[in-house]
Amino acid sequence: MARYALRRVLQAMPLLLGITLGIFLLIRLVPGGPLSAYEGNPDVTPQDLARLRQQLGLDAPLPVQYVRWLGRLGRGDLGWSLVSHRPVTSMIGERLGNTAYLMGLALVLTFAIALPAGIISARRQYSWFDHAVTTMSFAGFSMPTFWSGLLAILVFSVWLRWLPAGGMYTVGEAFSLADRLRHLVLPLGILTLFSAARYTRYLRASMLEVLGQDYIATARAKGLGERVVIQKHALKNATIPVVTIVALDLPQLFSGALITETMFSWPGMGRLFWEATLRLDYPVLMAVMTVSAALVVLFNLAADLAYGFLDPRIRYR
Amino acid sequence: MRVSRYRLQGARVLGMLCLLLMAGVSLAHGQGKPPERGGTIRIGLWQEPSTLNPYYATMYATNLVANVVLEGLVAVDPAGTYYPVLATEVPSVANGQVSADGRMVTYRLRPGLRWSDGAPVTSADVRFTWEALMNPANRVVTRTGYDLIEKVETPDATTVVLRFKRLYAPHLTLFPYVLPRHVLGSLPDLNQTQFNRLPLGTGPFRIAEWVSGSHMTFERNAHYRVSGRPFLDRLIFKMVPSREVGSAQIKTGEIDVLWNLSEYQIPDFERLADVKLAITSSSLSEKLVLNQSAGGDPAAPHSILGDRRVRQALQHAINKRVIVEKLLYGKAKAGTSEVPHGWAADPSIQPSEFNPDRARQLLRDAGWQDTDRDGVLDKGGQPLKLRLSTTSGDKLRELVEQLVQEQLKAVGVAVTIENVLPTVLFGSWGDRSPRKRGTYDIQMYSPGPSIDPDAYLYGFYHSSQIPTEANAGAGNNTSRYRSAEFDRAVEEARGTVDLDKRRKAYIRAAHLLNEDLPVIILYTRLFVDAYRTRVGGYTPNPWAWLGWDAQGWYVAQ
Amino acid sequence: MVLAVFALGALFAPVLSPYHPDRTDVTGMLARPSWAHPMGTDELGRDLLSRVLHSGRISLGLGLLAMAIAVGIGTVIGAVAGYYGDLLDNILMRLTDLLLAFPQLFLLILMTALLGTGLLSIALVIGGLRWMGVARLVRAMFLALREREFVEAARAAGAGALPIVWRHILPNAWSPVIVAATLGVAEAIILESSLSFLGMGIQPPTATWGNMLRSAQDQIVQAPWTAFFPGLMIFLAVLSINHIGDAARDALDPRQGRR
Repeated sequence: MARYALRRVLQAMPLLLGITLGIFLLIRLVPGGPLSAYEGNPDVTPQDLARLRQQLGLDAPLPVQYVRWLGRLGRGDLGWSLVSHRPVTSMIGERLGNTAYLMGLALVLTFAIALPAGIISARRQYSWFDHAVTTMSFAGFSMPTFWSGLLAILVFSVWLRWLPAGGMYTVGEAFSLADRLRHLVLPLGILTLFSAARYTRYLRASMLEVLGQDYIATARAKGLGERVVIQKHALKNATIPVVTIVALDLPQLFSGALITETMFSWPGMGRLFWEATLRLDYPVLMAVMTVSAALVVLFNLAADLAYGFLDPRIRYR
Repeated sequence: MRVSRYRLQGARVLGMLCLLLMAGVSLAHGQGKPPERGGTIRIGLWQEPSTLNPYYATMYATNLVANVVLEGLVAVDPAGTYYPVLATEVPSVANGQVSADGRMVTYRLRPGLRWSDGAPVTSADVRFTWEALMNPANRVVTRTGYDLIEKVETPDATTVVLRFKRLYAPHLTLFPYVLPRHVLGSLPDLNQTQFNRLPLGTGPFRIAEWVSGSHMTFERNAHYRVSGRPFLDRLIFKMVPSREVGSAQIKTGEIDVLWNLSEYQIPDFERLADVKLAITSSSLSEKLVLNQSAGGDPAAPHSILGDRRVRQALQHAINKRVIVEKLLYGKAKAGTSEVPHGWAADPSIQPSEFNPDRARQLLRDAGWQDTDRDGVLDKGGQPLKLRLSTTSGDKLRELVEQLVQEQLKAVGVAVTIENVLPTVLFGSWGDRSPRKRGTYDIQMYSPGPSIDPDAYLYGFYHSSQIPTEANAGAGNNTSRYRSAEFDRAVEEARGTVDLDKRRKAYIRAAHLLNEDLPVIILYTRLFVDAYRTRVGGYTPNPWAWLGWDAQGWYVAQ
Repeated sequence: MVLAVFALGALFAPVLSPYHPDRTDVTGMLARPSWAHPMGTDELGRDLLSRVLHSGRISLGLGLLAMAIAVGIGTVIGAVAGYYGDLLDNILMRLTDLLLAFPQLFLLILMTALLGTGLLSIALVIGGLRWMGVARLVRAMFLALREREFVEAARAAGAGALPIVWRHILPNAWSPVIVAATLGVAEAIILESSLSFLGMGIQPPTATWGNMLRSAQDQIVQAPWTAFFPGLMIFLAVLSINHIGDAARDALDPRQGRR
C-alpha cells in the first residue's frame, strides 16, 4: 500500500510539471498582456512601454520566462503581480481565508442537508418525501447560480431589505456576529442550494444501489435492527463513491465559486482570478491555476488512497 | 377683548420656538458659520486600486484615493486654471519663475509644510521625486517630461529649480504628487515598498488601514497645512462590487458618495430627495476610430475608409443626439471636437449634422451604389461592409454599437460587431493586435486629452506616431492619419510656452481633425457623481479626481 | 415533454417571434410585460419574447454541438485507451487526468480569450473541456467488454480491430454514453450561459440567455422581467434535459437497485 502511494506521488510530479507548462503556454497565448492597460493611454509613450516591458521581464524569450518562473516556484516564491507589484503570496493569502470560509461552510451545510435527505429518500423510495426531495434537488442543480443569485438579491436585498446585497461585513463598524451572518446568508444559500441538490442525488442513488445488495438483505435476515443495518453496513458503503466526488470538489475550497463571489462581491480567490484575467496579470494567473491544479491532483490521489482504505474489496498491488 | 395670560405665554413660547427653529435651520445650512468639525464620510469605489502610488498606475481609482493623501506642487481647479498647492504661486513667464526660453522653472514651496508624520517638507523631497521617477529600477508608468529635466537644483529648503534640456510646454503637469524622501530615500527601488499600499503624504488625510477587497480607512492629518482643516475625522473608501450595488447602498445610506455613475442610473437618482447629483463635463469622448490604411500601411488607403467622403457620410448617417438622449439619458454632449473643453478648446464647434440624405449623396459621389439590390452598397464588386469592435463586457458600448449599426444600415452600410477583451483590443504589436497593426476597420473606445492636449494630439495624430514594423509598433496613431498641416499645428503648440499661441494652434488642429475625420466623435461623457445631502463642501472638478477638495468636506446635518 | 416545447420553439423561432429579435425601438425601452410585448422589452426596446425564442436556438444548438464534440472526442480516446490498453491507455489517461486537473471555469475563460467568442469557438471550448468524462466512461466500458466472450470469438475469427469495435463493443457501450451525453447538453448550456454572463461568451447583439441575463443585471431593480425570463428559460431547459437524462439512465441501466 505504501509503495503504491509512493509510486503515485512520484507519478504526480511530471504531471504537475506538465500542468504548469500547459498553463503557462495557454496564458501567454492569449493576446494582450499586463501592459495592455497602458496602450492607448496618451500619457504613456512608446518609450515608457518598452522600458516597462524590459523592467517586468516580459521581453525575454518565453522559455526563459518559464524557467525563471519555475525557479522562483522552487524557492516558494509565487512572484509579484505585474499590476499591483505586490507579492502574489500575500494577495492569495488575503483572499484564501475568505473563500475557504465561505466554501467550507457551504460544504458543511451541504452535507448536513444532503446526508439525511439522501438517506431517508433512498430508504423511503417513492414516498412523498422522496418525491419532494427529488423535485427540489432537480430544481436545485438545474438552476444557474447567477440567476438564482440575481433573483435572491432582488427579493431579499432590494424589495424586502432584509439582507445586504454584498460584501462580507459592514465596513467601519465593529465586528458583530449577527452582521457577519446576515452577509453570509445569500451567498451561502445560493451555493448550498446547488451543491446540496447534487449531493442529495448522488447519495440517494448510491444508497439505493447499496440497499439493493445481497449483504443488506442478509443483515436484515439476521434480525439486526434497521438502524444498525443502515449505519454499519449501508452507510459506509454508500459513501464510498461519494468520496471520489467530494475529493474532486474539495479543491473548490481554493478556487471558490467565481460567479457567486463576483455577484456578492465576496473578496475571494474566484474574484482574484477574474480580476487577474481581465488584466492578464500573468504571475497571479499562473499562481492561482497552478495551486488549483496541484490541489486537484493531490486530492485525487488522496481519494484513491482513501478508497483503498474504505473499501476492503480493493487492494493495490 | 382681553387676551388670556395663557394665550400670551403660549404665543411667546411659540415665538421662541419659531426663533429657535429658524436659528436651527440657518445653522444647518451653515449660513455664515463654519462647518462643524467631525464625522465620517463613506465613499463607494466600484474599482479597487491596484496600488496607491499614482506613479505606478494610471487607474482612476488609484488617483482618486491617492489624492486625499498625496499632494503636488500645483493643481487644476474646476475652471481649468492652475492654482498652487505646495508651491506659493504657479510659475509663469509673467512672474519670472519661468525663463523666457522655457528651460528653467522655479518653484517656491510654502514655509512650514509638514508630512503627516511631522517631518518637514523640503525641496529635497521634490528632487527625490524626480530621482525616483528616473531611477531605472523603478517601474513607473511614465517618465514623459521628467526625462527632459537635466537637473533639479535646491538652492535652499523651499526653492526648487528645474533645468530642462529643452523646452517642455506642458511642464506644469509635472510633479502632481511629491514623494517623501525621508521615508523612501534609502530604498534601492520603490517597486515593492509598503508605501505603495500605505502612502505617506501632505494631504488632508492619512491612511490608517487598507483591508484588501473591503475598504480603506483614512484619518485626519493633524499636520495638515491649513489649520482647522480637514473638517472630517475620517474618510472611508468602501469597495462595492458594481455601480448597481453602490447605487443600492447610497440610497440606504450605507455609503455617502458614489463616484462616476453610469448614465442610465441618473433618472432613478433624480427622483430622490436625499441624494444629489454632481455633473461636470469631461474630456473623455467615445469615438469611432477609422482606419484609413489598408492593412496598416499608411501609403495604401483603406478601400472603403480611405475616402474622406465615405468618412463624412458615416458621420452624417449617425444620429448623435439620439444616442445621447436614449442611451445616455441626455447626460452627455454630442461629440464636437477632440479638445472638447478646457483652455485649449474652441467652444464654438458644433456637433455634426444628422443628415442621412447627405450621407447617401456622399456615398454615391464616392462611387458606392447598390447594384445587387441587397440593401448594402457596393463598388466594383466589393460590398460596403465594415467591422466594428470595442471592449467586450461593457453594456453601454454594446448598446451604442447596436444603435450605430442600425443607423448605418439605413444608408446601406453593413456593420458587423466583433467585441474583444480590453487586453486584446489594446494588445501590442507583438500580439498582432489589429489596432496596432492596422488590420481593423473601425474601433470604438475613449481616449482623450488631459488638461494639456499635447500628449494626446501628438501621440494619436502626428504622422510620426504611426505604429509600423520599423518602430516595433510604437505610437498611437492607429488611424494612420497623415496631414502635414496638422503636424505643423501640433509642433508649433509644443514649441512655445506662450499659452495664447498654443491655444490658437490647438484650435487649428481640432478643426483640421473635424475636416479630415480620422475619427468620428460620438459623444463626450459627463462625469456624474452622486452624494447624499449630508455631504457638504463637495464641488466636482473635471480636471481632478473626486476628493480633490476633501479638506473642505463636512457633514451637513 | 417540456423539452419538446423548447425544441419546437427553438426550431420555429423565426416564425413564432412577433418581432425581429434585433429590432430596436428606442421609444419603448424597458417596457413592462403587456399584450404587445408578452415578456416586456429590454434596454434597447427589443421584444424580450422574440429574443428569448431566438436565444433558445443558439443555446440549445450550442449545447448539442458542444456535447457532440465532447462525445466524439471522448469516445475515440476512451475507445482507443480501453481497447489497446497498456502503454497507450496509460498515456491517454495521463493526458485526461492532466486536463481534468485544470479548474474548469478558469480554463474556459482563458480559452475563450484565446479562441474568440464565435459560436463555433465556444462550442469547441466547451466540448474540449467535457470530453474527459465521456472518455473515462467509454474506457471503463471497453475495458470490461474487451474480455467478453463474443469479442474473443470475433478476434479468434480473425477480425481486425476496427470491425470488432464497431460491430460488437460499441453497441453495448453506448448506453452510459447516452446518459452522459444528455446530461452533457445540460452542462454545456449552463457553461455557455455562465460564460456569456461574465461577458466572455457570444457577443451581442446576438441574443443568448446568458448575455441577456448579463445586461439584465444592471436593470434588475427597474425592470426585473429582463432578468426573470431568460433565467427561467435556462432553468426550464436544463431541468427538462436533466429529467430526460435521469429517465434514460433508469431505462438503460438495469443495475439500478429497486426494492
